[in-house]
Amino acid sequence: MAHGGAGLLLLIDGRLPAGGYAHSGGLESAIRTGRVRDTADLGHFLTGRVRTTGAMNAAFAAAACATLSRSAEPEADPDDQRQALNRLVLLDAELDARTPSPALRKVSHALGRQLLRALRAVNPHPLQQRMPQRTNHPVAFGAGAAMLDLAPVDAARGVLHEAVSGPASAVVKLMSADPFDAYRVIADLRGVLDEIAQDAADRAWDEPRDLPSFGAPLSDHLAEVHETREARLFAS
Amino acid sequence: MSASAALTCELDARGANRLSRMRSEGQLVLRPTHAKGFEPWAHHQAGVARVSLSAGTAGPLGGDRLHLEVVIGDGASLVLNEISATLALPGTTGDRSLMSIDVQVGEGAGFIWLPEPVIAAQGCDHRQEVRVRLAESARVLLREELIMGRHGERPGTVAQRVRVTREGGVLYDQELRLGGRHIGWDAPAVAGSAKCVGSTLVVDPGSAIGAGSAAPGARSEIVDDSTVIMGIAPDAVQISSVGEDNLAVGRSTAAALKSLGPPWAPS
Repeated sequence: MAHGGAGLLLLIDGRLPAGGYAHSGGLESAIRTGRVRDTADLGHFLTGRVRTTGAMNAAFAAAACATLSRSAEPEADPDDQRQALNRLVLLDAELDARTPSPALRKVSHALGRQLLRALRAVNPHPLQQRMPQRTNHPVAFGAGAAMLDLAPVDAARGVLHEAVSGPASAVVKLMSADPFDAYRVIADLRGVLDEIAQDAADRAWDEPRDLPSFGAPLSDHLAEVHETREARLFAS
Repeated sequence: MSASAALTCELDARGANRLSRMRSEGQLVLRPTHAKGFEPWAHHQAGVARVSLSAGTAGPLGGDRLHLEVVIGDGASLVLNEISATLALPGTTGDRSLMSIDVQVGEGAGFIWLPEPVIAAQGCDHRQEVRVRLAESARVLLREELIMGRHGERPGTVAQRVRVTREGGVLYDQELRLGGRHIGWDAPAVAGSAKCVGSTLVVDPGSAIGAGSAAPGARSEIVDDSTVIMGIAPDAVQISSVGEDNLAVGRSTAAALKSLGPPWAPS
C-alpha cells in the first residue's frame, strides 16, 4: 500500500547525495549556444522538455514503480518478484531505445547508478540486491519509489520535478537570472506537471513497448555538443 | 477515405529480385521505377528492385486511414522512394488522418527507404506510424523528414512514431510530436525555430558505424551546427538534423552519410 509523501520528499531532495545537482538538463548547452537567453526562454525550454522527454521518463518511472510495488512488500512471492525484475529489465531496454543520444544514455545510467547507491545506504531493502546492474535513471527512480512504498503517480511527479528543478536551480549559475523568476517558471508549470504525472500513472501497466517515446531532437543535439566541451560547469 | 497497399520483394529461383506482390489501392499507388538521384548502399548493388509510391490524390486529408505493408524476403533488396512530398491537410470533419506503415526485412536483405518530406499544412492533424521488424542480418536506411507548414503558414498538428525491432528486441523508438496542438514543440529543447526536422536511421550489421572510441563506446559525431550522428547500437546510427528547410536538412544528412563512409556515402 502506498504511504504518504515523506518518502517522495526524501527522494526528490536536492541535498540527497545522488548526483543530480551536477546536471543542468541540457540548459548549460542551450545557454552557451544562445538558444536560452532569459527566464522567458527558460520557461519555454522547460515546457518543451516536460512535454517530451519529461513525460516519457515520468511514464517509465511510474511503470517501474508499479512493477515493483507488490514485490517490494515483505511477504512477496518469489515468482512474482522474478517476473517483476524481468519487466524492469524490459522497461530499461525500451527506454534505452528511446534515448538515441549516447551522451544522454550515459547521463541517465550514471544517475540511475548513483541513486540506487544512495538508496541502498539510506533505505536498505531486500530487493536492492536483485536490481539489474545497469538501469536508466527513471527506472531506478521508479524502483526506489516502490521500495519507499510510494505510488506510481509519486514516482512520475518526482521525475518531473527533477526535470524542471535541476535546470531552474542551474540557471542562476549559468546566466544573469533572478532565482525567484526561475522558480516562478516552475510554479507556472505545476498544473501541467500534475497532469502529465497522472497520465503517466494511468499508463503504468501498459505493455512496455506501448509506453510513450516522445523525442526531442534539440535536447539530443545539446547533449552531444555539451559532451565535446572541455570547460563546462555541469555534467549535462 | 481508407486505402491499403502492399509490396513484397523476394529473390526468385535464379537469385534475382522479384516484386512478387504489388497491390495499389486508392491514393496509394505503387509502381516500379528507376533510381532517383543518389541511393546510399543500393548504388553499389546490381539488380536492386526499385518502387515508387505516389499519391493518387491530394492529402492525406483528415479522416483518411492509409496503410502500407512492405515485405523484403531473405536476401532480397529494395529501394522504395516517393514521387512527391506528402501534404497533410485538414479534412471536413476535424478527424485525424493516419498513415501506418509496416515493414519486415529478412535475413541478409536490404531496404533503402527514401520518402519525400511530410508537410504539416495549417490545420492538419496527421499521424504517421512506422513499424519496422528486422532480421538479425537485415540492412536498412530509413529517412524521414517533417516540414512545419507550407511557406508562411503556421503548421498543423503532426505526430510521427518510428519503432524498429530486431530479432524481437527493441532497437529504436521515437515519436516526434510537432506543430499545432503540441504545446512546446518549438521550444529550444525540442525543435526550436526549425522548419524541417529530419532523421535518418542506418542499420548495417557487421559494421561498426555506431561504435565510438570514447566512453561509453557509442559514436557521437557533430556534423554541423544542427546535425549529429548518434550511435544507437554498435552497428546502427541515427542521423538527426534540424534546419531552415528540407534543402538544408538534406545537405547536412548527405554530409553525415559521407562521414559514415562506403557504402553509405556518395562516391
